[in-house]
Amino acid sequence: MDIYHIVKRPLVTEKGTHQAQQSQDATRSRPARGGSFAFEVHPKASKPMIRQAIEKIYDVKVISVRTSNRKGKPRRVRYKMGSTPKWKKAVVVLGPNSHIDLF
Amino acid sequence: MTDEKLAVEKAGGVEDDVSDATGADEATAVAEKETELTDEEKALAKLKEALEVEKEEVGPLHVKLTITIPRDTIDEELGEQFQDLKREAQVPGFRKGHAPLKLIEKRFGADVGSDSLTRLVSRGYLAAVEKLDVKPLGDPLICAMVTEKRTDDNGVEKSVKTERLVPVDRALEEMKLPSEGPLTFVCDVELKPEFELPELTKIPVKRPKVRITKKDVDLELKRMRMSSGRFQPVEGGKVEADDLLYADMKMSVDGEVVVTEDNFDLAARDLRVKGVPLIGFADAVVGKKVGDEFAFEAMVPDDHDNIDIRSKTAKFDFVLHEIKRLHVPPIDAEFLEGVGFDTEEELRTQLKLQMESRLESTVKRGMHAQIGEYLVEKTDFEVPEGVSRRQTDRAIQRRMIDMYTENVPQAEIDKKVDEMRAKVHDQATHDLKLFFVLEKIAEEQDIEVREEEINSAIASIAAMQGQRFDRIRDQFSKGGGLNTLYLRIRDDKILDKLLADAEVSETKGPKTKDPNTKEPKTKEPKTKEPKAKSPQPKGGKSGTDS
Repeated sequence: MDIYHIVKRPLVTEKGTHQAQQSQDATRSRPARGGSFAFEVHPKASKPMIRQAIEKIYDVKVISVRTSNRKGKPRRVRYKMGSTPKWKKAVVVLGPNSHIDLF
Repeated sequence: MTDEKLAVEKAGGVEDDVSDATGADEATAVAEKETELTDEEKALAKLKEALEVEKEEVGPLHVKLTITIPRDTIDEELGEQFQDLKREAQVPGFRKGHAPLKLIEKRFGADVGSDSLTRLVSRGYLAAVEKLDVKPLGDPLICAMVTEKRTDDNGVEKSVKTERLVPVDRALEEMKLPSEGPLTFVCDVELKPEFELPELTKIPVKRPKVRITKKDVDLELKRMRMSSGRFQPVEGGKVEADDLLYADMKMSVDGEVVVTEDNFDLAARDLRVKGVPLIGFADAVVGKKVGDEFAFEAMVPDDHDNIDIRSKTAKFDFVLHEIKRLHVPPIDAEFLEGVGFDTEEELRTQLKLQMESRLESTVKRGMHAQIGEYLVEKTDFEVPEGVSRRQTDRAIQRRMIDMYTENVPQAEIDKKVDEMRAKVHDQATHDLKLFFVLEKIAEEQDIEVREEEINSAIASIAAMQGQRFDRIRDQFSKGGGLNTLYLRIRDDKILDKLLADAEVSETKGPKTKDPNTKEPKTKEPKTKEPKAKSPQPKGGKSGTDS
């Protein structure tokens, strides 16, 4: 899998920026950690793959990767039930000297 | 102490506490108003302090301002804009008002930049003008890099950037807010002239001593009868002046036929046929009979539509077929009924009244003109070098309104306006001078025009033109004529006031003073001046474009 297939897009959301801020604040007490950033990743990507991809794409040091699988939401099209695709979210915590400029 | 209180004291007999209370209320109101105004005013005052401006004289009453707005002011302005936007912006992934400022700046930076630029440039200009204490005339022109399309020697179209003076809107399209450093722009401004007003009392004015005589009424009555007359065929007679003729016409230049027309209708007087003035045609045609063939030669003017025949001699060949002569109705019961009167005496009285009121307004206008001349003569200043097109147009519009109120037919007005455009410059300079003088008088003497006055002026124009009030008002507001009308009414008020204080001396006037009363001979046989109480024109109209 190509690294650009692994990392689909950064998630620029209120929740994400809030978490990043909290993580940034926590850095002061735990200087070994940098900020945290959320991404949508390929559902079959593993944590090491994500870590590698992020490190290559953004040229940063990744401390940890947390992932969660999100279920698709049910949707109805006329009389048929369907759902939005399932997807994987990854929150990466960067090293103290790393930063990703998302916006 | 407030004016109101002074007025109360003058009137006397009102208790002091009442007036004090009124004064206090008013003071609160004024304070409130001040706080309302402060935001914009504060910004302007702050900018006035912060900006740098250099003035360079380009010509008489013509300056170039180089305005520099420091970076701090730009950043402050941008910050304010972004803070405002942050509260309102809706960004996907964020609730309204919760998106980070950095993200907002990235997303809306360009739009906010152009908004801020507009505000900075317009405020910067106003602040600079205030700082230098100059009075600009009209909108400034701003120096900007404009993209122009030019064709080079090989016929290839290229976009070239050149520095030019352009109106503010256009300049803002081309300008960009600098990402670093101060904002500098150059304005080209025409200034209002500075001058002292002459003595405004005892202006010498001559009033011509004229009155409407029985002869004038006779002429007017004859004109009225002619306008309701009909053309009737003349059997076996000869052509007389002002007859209506039907003839086959052939126009040729250098032996080549240019136009032929059968049963062409024309009047037996000097007129214009196919764009060629036939001077002396009246004398040539008088005495001709039905069946006569005759020719007439005339010079084609050098502005004729047909370029090939310009400045050449045109030969007109006519074969006369029919002669019609105006039959003027006698003053009988039928005629009187047609114009809405019972007796000739009543009609004459009414005509005399109408003519007198027209004469009075003409005399008054004449005296106003004399005052205008006095004001222009006695005031010494130079009109701004490049008299802007706007001012010239305004002069033309004002003349148009003059003509509307003088009850001049629309066709005549259009013709006059075209003529005026050609040689308007001198007149515009004079009018501009008068405009500045009157504006200063209005400022000094606090003369203003109320909405009702404008409406009543429009109503009277509507009545005279026989159209609806709303329609005339719409026409005025569309063409920016309301402003011109406002100025006209204001000028009339000023001139009336000056006339009241003027030193009027009576002079001997010409025999017939009313400009609307002309010799019947010069009138067109079938047209009439639109006028209240006059009958509608009957019969066909002349086919010539005389």
